[in-house]
Amino acid sequence: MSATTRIAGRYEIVRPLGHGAMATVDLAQDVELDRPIALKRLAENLARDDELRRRFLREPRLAARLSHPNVVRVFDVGEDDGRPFIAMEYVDGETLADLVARRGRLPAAEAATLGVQMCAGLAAAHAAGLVHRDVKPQNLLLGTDGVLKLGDFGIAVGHEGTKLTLAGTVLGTAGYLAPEQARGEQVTAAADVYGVGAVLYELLAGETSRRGASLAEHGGENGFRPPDLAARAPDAPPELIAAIASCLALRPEDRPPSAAALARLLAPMASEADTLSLPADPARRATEILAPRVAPPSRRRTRRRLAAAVALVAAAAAGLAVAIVLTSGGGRSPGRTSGSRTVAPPAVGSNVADQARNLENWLRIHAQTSP
Amino acid sequence: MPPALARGWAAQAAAIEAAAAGGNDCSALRLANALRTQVVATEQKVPLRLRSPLVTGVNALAARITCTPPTVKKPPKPPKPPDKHGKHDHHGHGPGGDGNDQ
Repeated sequence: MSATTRIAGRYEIVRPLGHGAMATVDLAQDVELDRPIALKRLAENLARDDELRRRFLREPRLAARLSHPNVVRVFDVGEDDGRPFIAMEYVDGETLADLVARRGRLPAAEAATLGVQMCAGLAAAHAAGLVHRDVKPQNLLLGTDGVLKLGDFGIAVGHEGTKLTLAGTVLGTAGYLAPEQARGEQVTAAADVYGVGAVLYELLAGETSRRGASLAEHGGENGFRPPDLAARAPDAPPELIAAIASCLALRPEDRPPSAAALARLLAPMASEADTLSLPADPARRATEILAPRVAPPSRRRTRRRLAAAVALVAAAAAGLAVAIVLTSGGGRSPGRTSGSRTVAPPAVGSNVADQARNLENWLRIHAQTSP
Repeated sequence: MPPALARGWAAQAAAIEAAAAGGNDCSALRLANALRTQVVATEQKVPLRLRSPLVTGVNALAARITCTPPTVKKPPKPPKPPDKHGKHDHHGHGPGGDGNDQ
């Protein structure tokens, strides 16, 4: 019999959900409230870095302000034995990245339904003055109940992260960055609207809106002009194609004015339009909601900050699947096909690290598949 | 898939991810090749319907990684001994003495 590990006196580790180079995510039981949670912990060797610890804990504190059905809730942050942790809502489901890898192109109505839910979560965040800045399929968790949740608020944030992307170091996120964000300019909530467009494009086309793994590969503005979506999703209604194209506009002011406005554009095409709850019109346009600027790092601190950002982005990536069920135990498992259905190979990532992570997740998902 | 087997391979995939993310492509390739060898050697333990997608995934990952070994600087050549016969004895097809060699 193995001894149970208890974190911070109340979270009993049940089993691992995922891990990467920078963080581990476990399914844990909150013994005080008697509920399952996803517990993300900074890797032990990184926990000694003060800056990493500070950043790891700062952003969830922002996200904890939010309480919305389309946002993964942060319950608690803290430290145990010197290791920072984040206790989050546990979602039984899969990421949209897994969904696309498993199913390929989605029907337009289903994509629109997911888009409305993304917008609802983002509208709540924007109303609270938060800009996500990293909207991408890996950050969107679809529960088995059909509810989509936006996860990992603000972990991969900061202008340092953007600069890393420019340098081609953080490759995975580059495909979803708004042009102004990629250029290191002031980021507003319009960047999140762009991210929704990029995700919807991928849901409809079954492939990302941009080729190339890094911004360097994307090139200049032309790199942000996506291939013709209508040709890739011929069955999608023109209104949906147009809505997505407007989200992907190069200039923030040319995009839908808010996540709520985008939800209204998408709702008529959604498969469950009558049951979806649309966000209220916001007081401010997306372009008026500014992401906090970070003072440019001094030369002396640049390397350290870059390293911290790399680590956090990697931690985010490792934990983005955070709250999904990866092992057996009754319910439906994500990405698992049943019966005689064909099993898709691990998804091809936008870069080698992504692809290795996809393979890792694929293996964990299928770890419990009975022969 | 046997959980222990899958988790072991998943841990190796995580190591490949870390190496690639850290720019250590040669290390990532070495790990990916090792993983591929293990998967191929043990594939009979993998359920039939997972075997092909797994091998496809592992092969694709290994094939994608490019390792460019660092260039090794050659030690400087020792100075040539003085030419006994003088420059008029060259018979090769190199640039002739009349060209503008700068």
